[in-house]
Amino acid sequence: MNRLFGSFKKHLSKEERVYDECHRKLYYTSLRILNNSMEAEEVMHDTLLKYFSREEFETVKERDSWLTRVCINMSIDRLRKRKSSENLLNSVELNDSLDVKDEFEEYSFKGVTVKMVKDVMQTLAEGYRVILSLVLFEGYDYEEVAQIIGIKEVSVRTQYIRGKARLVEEIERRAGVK
Amino acid sequence: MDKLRNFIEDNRAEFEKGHLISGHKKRFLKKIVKTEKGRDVYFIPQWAKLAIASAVVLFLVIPVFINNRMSQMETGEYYSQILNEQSSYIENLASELEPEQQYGVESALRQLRDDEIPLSQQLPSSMSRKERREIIKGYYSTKLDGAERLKEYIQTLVEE
Repeated sequence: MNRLFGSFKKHLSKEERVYDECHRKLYYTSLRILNNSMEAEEVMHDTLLKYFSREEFETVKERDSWLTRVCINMSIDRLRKRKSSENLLNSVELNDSLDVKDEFEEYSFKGVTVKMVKDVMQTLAEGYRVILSLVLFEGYDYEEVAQIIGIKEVSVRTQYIRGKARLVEEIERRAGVK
Repeated sequence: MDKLRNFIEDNRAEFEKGHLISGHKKRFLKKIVKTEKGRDVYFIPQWAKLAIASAVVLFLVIPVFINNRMSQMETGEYYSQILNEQSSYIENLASELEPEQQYGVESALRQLRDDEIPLSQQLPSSMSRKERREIIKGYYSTKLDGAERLKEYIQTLVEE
């Protein structure tokens, strides 16, 4: 009897199964962009609802890639709607240059914890945070990020290097204070 | 080599560790139910819409057609039309016969076809529609049988 009910439950919860598999990844992808847990949850839900209203993918890889892209697009759309004065997505094109050098490429991160990086990421300006998230966590290259955000590739590179410098400086500052 | 990238890759699982806002799954399942209910209402396929429209039209047209046919049966109009068609055929067939024979055929057809007072007008109005149909059917069945026998007889005359 238990087996019968077990299989019945399993059959009913296809959505739950996909939810359990994907929700955490989508939530954190959105959270890193939006920096707001309520909004990140809404984006995660909307992404999955959109997925359930379309046809199945042939592979899990295709599904995950689609989910991530939709989640990112939805998060960025929300960010644009905020229209905050510090919204760097609208002003990152300023002062970008090919001459900017990545001084922290070889930074060792010795003694740096995940919590420190997470905390500092949350304090960064929107533009830096979004670009660092897309490059570092989602694995997109500068060209892909430029397409997603709708800015020049050179701007993405510049903002990535500047954002990373801010991140490291802040980590060092906090470590120094401690 | 970007060491920050490596740091994140090495600790990816830990970056996505932590509690989400409680009740997130419950809220999602509620949204799913709501969306599916909405889909039931709004997403009717085109073929289903056509099928429903056809069913409605048939549902409205069939009773009208049946009622019309029933009325024709109650007044005898339905049988009278069949009898007239049969008569025309017989007259056509008899045109090959001798004039005297033709006269006999026409006389017989008149007796079959023409009623001074139609039977439907002779029946009492208190009679039910079903009884009325049964009586008229029986009356015209006899006439149609007669017409059929007449037709067979003329066919044998023509063949001779």
